[in-house]
Amino acid sequence: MNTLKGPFRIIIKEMNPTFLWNVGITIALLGLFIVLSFYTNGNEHLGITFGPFYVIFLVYPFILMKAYKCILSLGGTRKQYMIATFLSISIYLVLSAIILNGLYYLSPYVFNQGYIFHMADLVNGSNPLLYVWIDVLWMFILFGIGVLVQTIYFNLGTVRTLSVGAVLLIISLATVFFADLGPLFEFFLTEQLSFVHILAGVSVLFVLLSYLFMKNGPLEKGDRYLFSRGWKEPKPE
Amino acid sequence: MIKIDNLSFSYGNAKALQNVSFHENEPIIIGLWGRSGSGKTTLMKLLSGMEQPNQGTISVNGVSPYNNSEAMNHVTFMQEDHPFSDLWDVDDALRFGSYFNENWDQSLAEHLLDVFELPRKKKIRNFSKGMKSMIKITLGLASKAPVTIMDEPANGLDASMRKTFYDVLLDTYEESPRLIMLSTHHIDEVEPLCEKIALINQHTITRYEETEKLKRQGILLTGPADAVRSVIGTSNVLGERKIGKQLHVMIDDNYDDSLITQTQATGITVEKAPLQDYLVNLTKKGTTKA
Repeated sequence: MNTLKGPFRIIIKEMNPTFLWNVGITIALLGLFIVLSFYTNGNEHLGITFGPFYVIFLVYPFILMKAYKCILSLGGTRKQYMIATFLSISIYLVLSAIILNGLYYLSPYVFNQGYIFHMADLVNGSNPLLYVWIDVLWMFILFGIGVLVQTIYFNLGTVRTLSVGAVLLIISLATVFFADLGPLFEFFLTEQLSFVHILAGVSVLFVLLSYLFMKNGPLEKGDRYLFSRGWKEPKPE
Repeated sequence: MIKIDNLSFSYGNAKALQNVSFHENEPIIIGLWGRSGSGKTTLMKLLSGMEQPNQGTISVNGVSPYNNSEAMNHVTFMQEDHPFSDLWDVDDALRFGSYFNENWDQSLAEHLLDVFELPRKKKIRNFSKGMKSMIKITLGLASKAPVTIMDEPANGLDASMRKTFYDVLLDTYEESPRLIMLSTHHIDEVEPLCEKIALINQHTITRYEETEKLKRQGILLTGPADAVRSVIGTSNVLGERKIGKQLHVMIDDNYDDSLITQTQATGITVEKAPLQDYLVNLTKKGTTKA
C-alpha cells in the first residue's frame, strides 16, 4: 500500500468544500458581471473574478492544519503531511487556473459590453497559456506566503508570531519612509513577467523553509522553542 | 514487539520521561497505569512516533516510529482526545483508517459499528463523549496493528457499553493476538482485560508485572495501634490513618493466609487492598518504610 494515499486523501477531503465554494462564488461573480455588462457605458472594466481563488490559496495552509493533526493521529508523518499538501495544492492550482481562465475566455461571449481584469493584462503578451501561467504563479505566490506565515504561527504561537509580525511591520514602514522604492515600482510595472517570476522564486523558498520547519514540527500550536531544541510543557494528562 | 531502552524525553526544561526501559515481545494486553502528569501519554506518543525521543531508543515491531511512514503499519494509537476533522462522518473515519493500516479489517469495523449502534452519516463532531470513545475503539481494533495503543479507551462509556468493549476486545484479541496497550487512571476499568500492568511513576516505568501478581499486593491492617505496629515489622507502609486508638495502615506485601493466621489473636483485621488504592498509595509522595 502506498503510504501517501491516506494523507493525500485526507488533505483532498479538507480542501474540497472550500474549492467548490470558490468555484460557486467565482461563477456567481461572473453572473453579476454579465448583468452589469448590460448597464455599463462603453468598454469599461467590470471587476475581477480571480479574487476568491487568490484568497483561498493564501488561506489554505490554515484550513489544512486540522488535517495535520488527523494525519499524525492516524499514524502518518509530518513529512507525509507536507508532501500531501504540496501535491494537493499543485493539483488544485492547475484546476483553479483552468477554471479561472475558462471563465475569462468565456466572458467576451456572454458580456454585452465591458471586460474583466486579469493579472496577465499587466504583462505584454496574448498567449492563452501565458494567462493560465500568470494565474498559477500568483496563486502559488500567495500559497507560499500563506504557508510560511502559518508555519511560523503554528510553531511559535500567537504571541511570538505577533511579535515577529510587529518587527517586520516596523522594518517595512522604515523601508517605505527611508528607502527609495521608486525603481522597484517601476520594475513591477514595466517588467511584470520578471517580477512575478522573482516573487514565485521567493515563494519556492518560503515553501522549502516551511517544509524544513514542519518536518519536525510540534504537535500543538506554539509548542516549539525558537532557539533551543525542545517543546513547551504539555497539558496535564 | 516493543523495545525501549534508556528513553528520556523533555518538554523544554520540563522532564516528562527519564531512563525508561521496557521490553515486551509477546502479543499480550497491557494496562498502563499512572497518575496525572506521570508521563503515560508522552510514552504513548513516543511509541506511536508522534514525538521524537531526546535520548534512548524505541523500536516498535522492529521499526523506529518517529517520522517513519512504515510505522503506520506496525502501530496504531487512539488518543484520549483523538482529533477528527469537522467534516468527517463515521464512514470517512473508517475509510481513512483503512488507508493507514495495511491489516485493516473492514468486516470487524462494520461489526463494531453495529455493536455500538453508531450512526454512519452523523458528523463525528456532533458525537457524545461515549460515542467518540466507540469510534476510537472501532478504529483501534479494526486496524489490527501489531501494536495497538489506546489512551483511556473506556472514557464516557456507560456500564453496558464498557462490558461490550471488553467483550469485543477479548474476541478480536483471541482471533488475532497482538500487543494491545490500554492506559488508564482507573485500573479497575481495564484490569480484568490485562495480562500485565505497567506502572509509570516519577517519569519512568517502575514496575511491569503480571496482573495477578500485582493484585495480590497491598494489605490493609486495622486494629489497636500497638498491635498493628508490631505486625507491620519491616514492611513498607504505603498509607496510615489513625482513628482514636485504632490504626489503619496499608502495607506493601503479598496478601496470603499466613498473615491472617498470625494476626488472628491480636484483634487486627486483615484485608486485601483494592488494586486502585494500592497503586495510588504506591505512587504517593512520601511513602515511608516503617
